[in-house]
Amino acid sequence: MKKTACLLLAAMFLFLFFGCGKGGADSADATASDAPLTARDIADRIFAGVKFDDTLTAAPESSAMSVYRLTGYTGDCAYFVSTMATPEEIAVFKTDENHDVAKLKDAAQNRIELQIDNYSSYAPKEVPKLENAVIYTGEDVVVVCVSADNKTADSLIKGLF
Amino acid sequence: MKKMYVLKNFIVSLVFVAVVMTPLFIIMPHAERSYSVKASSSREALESLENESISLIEESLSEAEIVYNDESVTDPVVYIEITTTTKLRKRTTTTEKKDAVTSEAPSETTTKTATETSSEPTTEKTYENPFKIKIPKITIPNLTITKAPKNQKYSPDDPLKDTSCFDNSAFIGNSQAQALMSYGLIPNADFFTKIGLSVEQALYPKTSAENVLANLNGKHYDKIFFVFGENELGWPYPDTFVKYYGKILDKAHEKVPSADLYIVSIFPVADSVSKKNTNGVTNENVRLFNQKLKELADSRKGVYFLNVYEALADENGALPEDIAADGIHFGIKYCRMWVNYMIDHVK
Repeated sequence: MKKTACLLLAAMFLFLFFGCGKGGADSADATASDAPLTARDIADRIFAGVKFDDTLTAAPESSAMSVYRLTGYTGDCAYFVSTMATPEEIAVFKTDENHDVAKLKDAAQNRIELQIDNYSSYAPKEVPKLENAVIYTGEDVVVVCVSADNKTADSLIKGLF
Repeated sequence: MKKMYVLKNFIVSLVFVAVVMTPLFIIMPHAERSYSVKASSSREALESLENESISLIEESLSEAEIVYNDESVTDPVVYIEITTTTKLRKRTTTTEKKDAVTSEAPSETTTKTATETSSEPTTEKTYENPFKIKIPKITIPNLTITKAPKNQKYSPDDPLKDTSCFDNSAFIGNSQAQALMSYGLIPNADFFTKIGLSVEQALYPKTSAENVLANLNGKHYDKIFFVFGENELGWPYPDTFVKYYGKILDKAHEKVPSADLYIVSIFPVADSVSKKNTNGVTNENVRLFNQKLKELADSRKGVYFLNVYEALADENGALPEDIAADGIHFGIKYCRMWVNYMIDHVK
């Protein structure tokens, strides 16, 4: 009985120890993540953590504004573009004074619809990636991801916020 | 009696063999003939062979490997091996020979070369080798092959050159032009592009997205670049593609009379893609279509042909295998090569 009690106490102690350690690590992460992620930070993490069939390249913000038809946009954005063999891409837009989340989300949805139209005849097997594209709307950010594994992309993006 | 029987069979066999072998003797002398040809390329050598009234059908070329000694570029020996399944075609009428399919910088390969294509009907007889006997190699002595040097001028690691020559310019075209826009390599030009856009869609648009030429209305560009062809390689009539392309150029000139118009060549594809021959996407077709596009150029009318193909193709006339995931759409490094080539060749 005594032995059992000692063992149980030791096990509890160990659990508490590792729990604190994990909490400590979380604390360290929490400190680092207090600083808001930039659009490029978000895009980089998606790029690193999600599977893509195509080769993605970081493109200028002007390209993102052009393809998403965001005239006068001045917010922080990041854009990773494919070779056009597939519709895969990553786009992150933070709100600015002229573009709130609703407007950015509309732009994202229009972009996806246009791409579905383009690829329906051009490369039909790519259309499912677009139909399951991730469009995440946060407090001040819209994230778009079209990839070979949109489920993972969805989890990863949600985990960032 | 028995002897008579044996003798009779022997004679019958002799006759049979004589009858059967005679056609072979007709064919074989042609196959065994050695041609003395001086040529600067194996393609030219084949054209010379045609003058001898024997030509190798393209199908047979795929089985007959033209090889040359890589170690001795100055004095190589070329063999054309006729295999057991090779067909020999003998021309019985003279036909007008179309231009051979060539690129600006013909490169020698160890695989088949394209034969001429002719729209003129020819009367020809095809002799198959029915005896499954391997015919000895045809040697072409004294043949000088000039191996095309590997394109050293453009490298994917070269930095981007000064793009100011694209000021007040526009690009019109398909997904490859769209990739160029997306990479931001020419931020000072306007792009009017659509994924999958063909010359037919541009000429006869059914949607506003296809109506790319309308973007030229009221504009005064100095240069307009056209990027078409990848989506049309499977068209059965290349001349139709060229006709539509010509009409697009005419329309562009109507809208922007002062602009110089640049026809960007169709790009090479990876050899693995070319061999699959899906929807006509082969490097042979690329070169054929480019040859026809080149004929559209007329500097007097301000229409120029930019043979970007020669900057991107390797020594085998193909896109390197590791450049594009689908063997067709290359990434930013090769786009940079494309842009650098254009910078060196536009006015």
